[in-house]
Amino acid sequence: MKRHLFFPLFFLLFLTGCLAPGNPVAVPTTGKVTLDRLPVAGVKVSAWPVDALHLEGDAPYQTSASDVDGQFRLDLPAGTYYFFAHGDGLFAYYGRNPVTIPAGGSREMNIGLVRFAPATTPLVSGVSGVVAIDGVPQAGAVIFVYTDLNSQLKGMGYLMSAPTGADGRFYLDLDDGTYYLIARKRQGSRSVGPLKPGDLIGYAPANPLRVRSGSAAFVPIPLLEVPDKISSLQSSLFGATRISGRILDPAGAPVAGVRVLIYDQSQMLDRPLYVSQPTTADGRYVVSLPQGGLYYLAARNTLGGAPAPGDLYGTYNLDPEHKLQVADGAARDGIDMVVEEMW
Amino acid sequence: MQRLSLCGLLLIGLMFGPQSVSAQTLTGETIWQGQVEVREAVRVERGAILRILPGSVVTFHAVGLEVAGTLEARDAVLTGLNWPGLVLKGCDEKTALDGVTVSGAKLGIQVVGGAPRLRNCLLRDNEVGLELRQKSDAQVQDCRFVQNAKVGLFIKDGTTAAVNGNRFEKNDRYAVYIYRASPAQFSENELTANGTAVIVAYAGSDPQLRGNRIYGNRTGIRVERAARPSIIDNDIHDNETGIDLDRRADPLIEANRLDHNKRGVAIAYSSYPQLHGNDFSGNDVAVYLEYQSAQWEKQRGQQARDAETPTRSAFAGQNAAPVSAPAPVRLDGRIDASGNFWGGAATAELATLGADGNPTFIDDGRDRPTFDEGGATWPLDIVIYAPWSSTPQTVGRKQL
Repeated sequence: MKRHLFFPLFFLLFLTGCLAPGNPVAVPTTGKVTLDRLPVAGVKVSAWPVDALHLEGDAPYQTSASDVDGQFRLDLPAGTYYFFAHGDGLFAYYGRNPVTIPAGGSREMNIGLVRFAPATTPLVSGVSGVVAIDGVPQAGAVIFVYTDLNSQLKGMGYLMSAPTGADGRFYLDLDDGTYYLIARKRQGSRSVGPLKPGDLIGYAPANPLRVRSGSAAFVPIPLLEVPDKISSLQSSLFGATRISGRILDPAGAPVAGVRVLIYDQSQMLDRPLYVSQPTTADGRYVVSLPQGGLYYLAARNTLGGAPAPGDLYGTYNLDPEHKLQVADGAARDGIDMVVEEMW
Repeated sequence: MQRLSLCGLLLIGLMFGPQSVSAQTLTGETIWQGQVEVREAVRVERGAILRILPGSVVTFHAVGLEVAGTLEARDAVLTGLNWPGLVLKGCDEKTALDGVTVSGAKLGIQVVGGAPRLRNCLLRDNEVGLELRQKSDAQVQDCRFVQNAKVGLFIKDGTTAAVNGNRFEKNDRYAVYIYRASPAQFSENELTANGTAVIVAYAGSDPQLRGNRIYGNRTGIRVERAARPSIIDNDIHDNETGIDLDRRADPLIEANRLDHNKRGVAIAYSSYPQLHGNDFSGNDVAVYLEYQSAQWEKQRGQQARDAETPTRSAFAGQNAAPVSAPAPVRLDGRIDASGNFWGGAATAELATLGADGNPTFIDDGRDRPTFDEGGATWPLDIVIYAPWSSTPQTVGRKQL
């Protein structure tokens, strides 16, 4: 009898040990690394938790080299991470960083690599550099400077450079300190809002950059085009947890071109947690969420700053505080919102 | 993408009937003449020139025209049915539209930066007639804005344009909307039969509106949400409300002629104008106060403004942005409107009333001591009308 009890108890203790706090279950994140849309072997993907103080040294999570199909697998606990990739003369800062990995893991992460060569141009003083794609300088890129990771390297940051000229050069007047440099080049006249497919983003491989008095730094920033695949993953990017519905005008007609913004605070100020793709002609939207929770919903046809006169704006009004509870794994469909012009 | 690289002239139109444009990008020099049908969006590249000759009628079929190079158009018509409109993106002063009619567009002409010249143009039956944005230094002169559904002329984003000698009529909602911008000049314009002739809104909107004629509108000039324009030397008559101030609007109102409006100046929600040197006459009420209380401002003003977000507003409804403005300098429950001429009959009335009466031409806390707001009762401010001028002060100034 005692012998019969021993093995179940041992198994239970074994399981308890595996699931104990401090030993979170690692889930797989899979995908591939590409260069010019072709898979690349021998590239290592690494990840930093979003609460890391700095992105330097050895990353706490790192894959072995990618296979001939560019495939990689990285096991790490559910959470939010910055993803990087390094290869021979190749580098990547994943354009969707930071990325939330849900409890079920993540798949189809496509990390685009850029060619990267260390700086060779001498510099007398200050911080300068060049933004380029495959060595071709890019005009019209803006360098955003961040002093830490608090904003997750999004938004306006500490300061911005002037747009680069035809030679792709930029210059920054920075005091002593540690900085992260991100280059962005948006299509059209937009200067704010999430990057769209076709926009360019670059993370300086020299980040975090340490600036000291009397020293100089030349910082090349390779750019990568934001892919359009993300739009096709809107409904399933993170799994089954999602919010979907329609955006309507006051007369009940569907409205195209409106994004749904999802916040975690009732004021719905600052940067939303998640932003949908613009609604289609039937007014439909869907936002995939990494986990359930209490969210606050708004919808508008412009991004950046407060809505201006004439902009379309609306909130989720079935709740007086515009909030919606979403359970893990649940699909909250039929969440319609009405937008009106602001005047 | 099919490219047209034409260094010569395209003069097909006159010879072969309507000219059909399907190219998406124009480089070099291109001429449109006669009947032109545009069925694909057209972009004029930087360094390229598009000339639209007099008498041309260009019809856009649900597509627009974007110009990053130069557009020269004279006495031509650009029209369509709910087409996106013409975009002038960073065009310098070489881009000039003279006598051009733009109609039927969602946004007739959008000027993004640059300094194009628009003269004698007609913006008619668009949702928005003309929008100036991104620090544009455009010149808009002697144009007409007629029956645009939402806004005739939208001035925003730090635009420093000059807007002179234009006529705005029958624009249902707003003839001119100035949003976070201070045009270098807004003068000698005529605005009539509009919903609101001019609205100046939000902090950072500090233009000078000078020498305009504003009559027959529901509201002549509306100032709201911390905008601080200077309203000087305008003729404002026969409107339902001449000047309407709301939500911390502190404009300078000086040397204007306000006559025969139902309400000359209406003041609400912690607005404290500098109101001096004007000539009032024949208004049903010269100055009208509503929801205006120094007590409310002291206890709830800043709190209400802080809470005014796109989702929550002390002023009800969905408002566009927090109102940011310094607190009023003086909060003693009085609005200083001394130094104005109140009209002949009013001056005679004041001769009897003196400085401490309750004149019939001012409707304030003397007439309605309190109002209710937010579950509490608040004292309504009063208007200080003395000393006053016994004679008109703007006589002899140029009348438009």
